Amino acid sequence: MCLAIERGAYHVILILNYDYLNDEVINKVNEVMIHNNVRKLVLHVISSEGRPTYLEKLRTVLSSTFPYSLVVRYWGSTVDDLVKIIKLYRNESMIALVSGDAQEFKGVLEGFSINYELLGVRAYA
Amino acid sequence: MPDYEVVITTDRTMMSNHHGKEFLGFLTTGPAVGLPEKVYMWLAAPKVKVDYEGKPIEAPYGLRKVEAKLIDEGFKAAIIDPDYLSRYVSSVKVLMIGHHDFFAYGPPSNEWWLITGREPINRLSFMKFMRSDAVVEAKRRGAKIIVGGPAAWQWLWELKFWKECGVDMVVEGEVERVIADIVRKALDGEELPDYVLVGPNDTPSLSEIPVIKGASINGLIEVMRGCPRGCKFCSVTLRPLRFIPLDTVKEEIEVNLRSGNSNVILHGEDVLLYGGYGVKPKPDPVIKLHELARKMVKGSIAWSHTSLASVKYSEDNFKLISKLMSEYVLSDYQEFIGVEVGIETGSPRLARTIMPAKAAPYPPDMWPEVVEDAFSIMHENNVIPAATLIVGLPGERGDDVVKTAELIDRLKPYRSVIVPMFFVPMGALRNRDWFDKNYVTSEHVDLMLKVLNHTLYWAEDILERYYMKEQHLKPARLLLKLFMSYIKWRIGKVVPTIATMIAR
Ligand code: SF4
Repeated sequence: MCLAIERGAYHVILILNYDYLNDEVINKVNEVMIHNNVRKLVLHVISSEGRPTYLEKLRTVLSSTFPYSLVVRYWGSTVDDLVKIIKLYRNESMIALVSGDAQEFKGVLEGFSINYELLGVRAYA
Repeated sequence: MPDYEVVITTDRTMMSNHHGKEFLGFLTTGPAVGLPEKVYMWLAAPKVKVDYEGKPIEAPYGLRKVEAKLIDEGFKAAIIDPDYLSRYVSSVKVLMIGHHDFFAYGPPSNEWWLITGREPINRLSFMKFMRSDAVVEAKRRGAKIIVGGPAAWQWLWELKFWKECGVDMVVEGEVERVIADIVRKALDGEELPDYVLVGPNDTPSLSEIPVIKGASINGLIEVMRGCPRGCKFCSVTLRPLRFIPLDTVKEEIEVNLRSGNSNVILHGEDVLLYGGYGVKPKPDPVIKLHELARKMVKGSIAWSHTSLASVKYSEDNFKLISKLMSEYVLSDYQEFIGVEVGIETGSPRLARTIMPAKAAPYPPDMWPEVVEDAFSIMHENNVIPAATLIVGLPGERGDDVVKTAELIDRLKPYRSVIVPMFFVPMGALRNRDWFDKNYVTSEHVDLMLKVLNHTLYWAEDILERYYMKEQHLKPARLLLKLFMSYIKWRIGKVVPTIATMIAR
């Protein structure tokens, strides 16, 4: 189901539970790209805000001049939606970024042994 | 009537040749002031001729590239004039819509919007088009809507409208390598991503860029993509620099000639850098390009953009501007050439910070001198620049604005129009207070008045001497004169208010 431009991309699952720091996402995404030496990124978004409203939170990310291709897909808001992404992209390079406190999502990620990082930790501490 | 499954289109402000005068297209970026909206639309964006299928004879170049790529890949695709879209609502499965400035968030639309407090007509016209029966019906029947172009990012600020229109995907960047795959997936009913940003690594190579199949607006054809100057506020510079080979240029001029377009606009971020070394123009390829254009085209030759450093360097070292103008451009049919250039700032400090290679091969500290010399060279050679300034850049100080104003003073003797662009954070457009708070420092106001006076003075001169002299353009010329008188009158009225603002 993916476009040719998504092949060989690095996959980031973005769980947007709460407001989070835009700059932090940009920095994190940059870090992931440089660390893994990849030139394409697919953002898989889980958010309760629905399509296309969730994109409001990605404006800064999409407007920053990244030197690579970026694809954004929306999957829904539930744990089942997260499981769907993981199953479909299990064999791809992947990391999850979780904003706010999302206990059940973290449980799923851990269950599937998906690396994840928490966003806005400092903001919520 | 063929059943096109992929229809490519846009609204009237884009689908127009602006009476054959590109500069008139700028009127679409403002609100209809001083004239009834219908008259203003006719002046700024008259309808284009179409064939029996509703396909425009001339269409925006970007849409032509997409059309060519899809046809080459075997799709039943065509560009359709917005007035004829209703004929295809039952056949269209993918509706592709492109624009330079969907919602007027780009310059200079955003300035007009801020200054007048009224929405520009490009925005109104586009939104009206998206709400038209034809678009709504195509969507209702299941067509996928894909929008794209250089202003694709603007949809991120219009999410309610995105939802209202049922846009399926937004795509940004050079799309030749990816568009056929996207359309195939859309036709197969696959789930599309919401947003695709095509990065430098996926930009097409020269062999992947197709030759257009139909004429472009006012004969515009691309001669290069990318720019090596690396200004910090510009995304074009991230993409690799590519020069379109002369054979392809020739083919595209032929396509235009076959449709009766006898003019050509050579499009590139810095046309004088065509075939050059890094940031240094090389005379031979530029001369060959113009030789070809003049041999083929009886009408006018224009440049879309060039850099002021290239103007100075190529004239100082090779007398290239005078040679191009006297031997290839100026003719019985053409008395001047118009081109967009970027001044951006008159402050060497700011130039060093935000655009360190804009003056190259000269050092950034020489930037004001480069600008002045280039303006003088252009004036001598009947090259008329439409120059941009960027006001309010992050880190700008009062003394930077003063330096820019001093530079504008020094540019007084040179025929040109100068357009200030405000560095505007999104969200500010609906809030005029923001503008008043951020752009009424006395330095800004002083600069803007200088720019306005400069532009109005030279715009009248240009209209008098050079512009729209053709018999059939007399009504449009008259309207334009009327419009300019109105603007002058309005400005006369607001200057005292501005003076009070400064005093505050
Ligand atoms: S010279 Fe113009 S096109 Fe080139 S990087 Fe600077 S702003 Fe962009």
